[in-house]
Amino acid sequence: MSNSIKVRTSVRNNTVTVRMLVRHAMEVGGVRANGERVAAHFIKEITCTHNGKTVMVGHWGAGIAKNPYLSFTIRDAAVGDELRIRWVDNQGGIDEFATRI
Amino acid sequence: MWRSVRSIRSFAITLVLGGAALIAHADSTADREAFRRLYLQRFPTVEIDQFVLGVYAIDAKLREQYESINEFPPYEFALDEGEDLVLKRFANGVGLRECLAKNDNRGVNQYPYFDAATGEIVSLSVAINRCRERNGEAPLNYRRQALAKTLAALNFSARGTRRSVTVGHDAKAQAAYASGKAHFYMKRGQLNLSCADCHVTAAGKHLREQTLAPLLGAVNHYPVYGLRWGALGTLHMRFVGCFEQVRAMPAAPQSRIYRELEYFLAVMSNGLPMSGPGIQR
Repeated sequence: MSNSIKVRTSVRNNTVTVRMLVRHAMEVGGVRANGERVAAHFIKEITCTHNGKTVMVGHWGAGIAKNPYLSFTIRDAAVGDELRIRWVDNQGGIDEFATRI
Repeated sequence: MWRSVRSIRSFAITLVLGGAALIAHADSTADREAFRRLYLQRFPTVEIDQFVLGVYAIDAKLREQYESINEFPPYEFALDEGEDLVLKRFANGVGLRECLAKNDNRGVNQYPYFDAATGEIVSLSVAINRCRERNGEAPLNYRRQALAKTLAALNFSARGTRRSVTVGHDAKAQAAYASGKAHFYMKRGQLNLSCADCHVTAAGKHLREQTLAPLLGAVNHYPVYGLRWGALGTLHMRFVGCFEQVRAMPAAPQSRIYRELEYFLAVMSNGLPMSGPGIQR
């Protein structure tokens, strides 16, 4: 997937609120009503680095809903700083997104 | 148990069982005024343009949740894909907007319309598929995401305009309008409920844990991203769902009855802002 992460940031004083929408099936897996077996497919870990330093790590499981929305704040951040978001899922899929605040 | 909808006057309509609706006098403008008055009286603190948000216009707590989700609308990925679909040219080089412009250059806010040539109500979905067929493409399935995404992109670009559907003097257009109105007020299904029973008489009240939405302007925020579906849903898919909920046999999306219902509801929503795609639980 070329890009599954959309990020928006808003700055207030020196705190930045980062909001993101991640497109991922977040499939719990199991057996469907018609007998079809579906493999679990969900993001296991999502990290955000700010100017190279890791500021957020999320350890997710199958309980997180499809196309998850996540928001968090970073202290002592300013416009122009670099943000990198990266996720890894349980089937080895990865996606990364880099942006500037 | 249900109050009759006494405050909607000014129209007389006779139904003939099993067939055509006879219109004694169908005045769509008067109907719309009465429809508005009813909801404005029922929900006096709600400003009229807000009604396009449906249930989120009338419930403060739900509105708070809606606003926080709307900070980063969940339909954004689907909307991007819809925009790509709208821009993608057909195999013969024609573009969708170019083809739609042939319908008298109608804006999205002027759909659905009565097509005098075929005697049918043409909704935007039907217009899209007509364009596709005329240009050698396969029509899109009315239940699937490709069409919903296309509708999302077209409706998004129509934000800033207001619904503007005219019924006109053509007797067949008047008949189609009257038929849509009749279906709206007609009881159906094992539960014997009409659209009006839940969405007019009981609007704002609860059905189990759900608050019933007022329908003034409701069609203007379709297609909706349903959080319960994790995907977009179209107006006709919602009609199918409603019929199933009252245990009536649903018609197929874009069948005549649903197009006529859409026509009626669009006329009722005239003057209100186009606000699609929307967000729902």
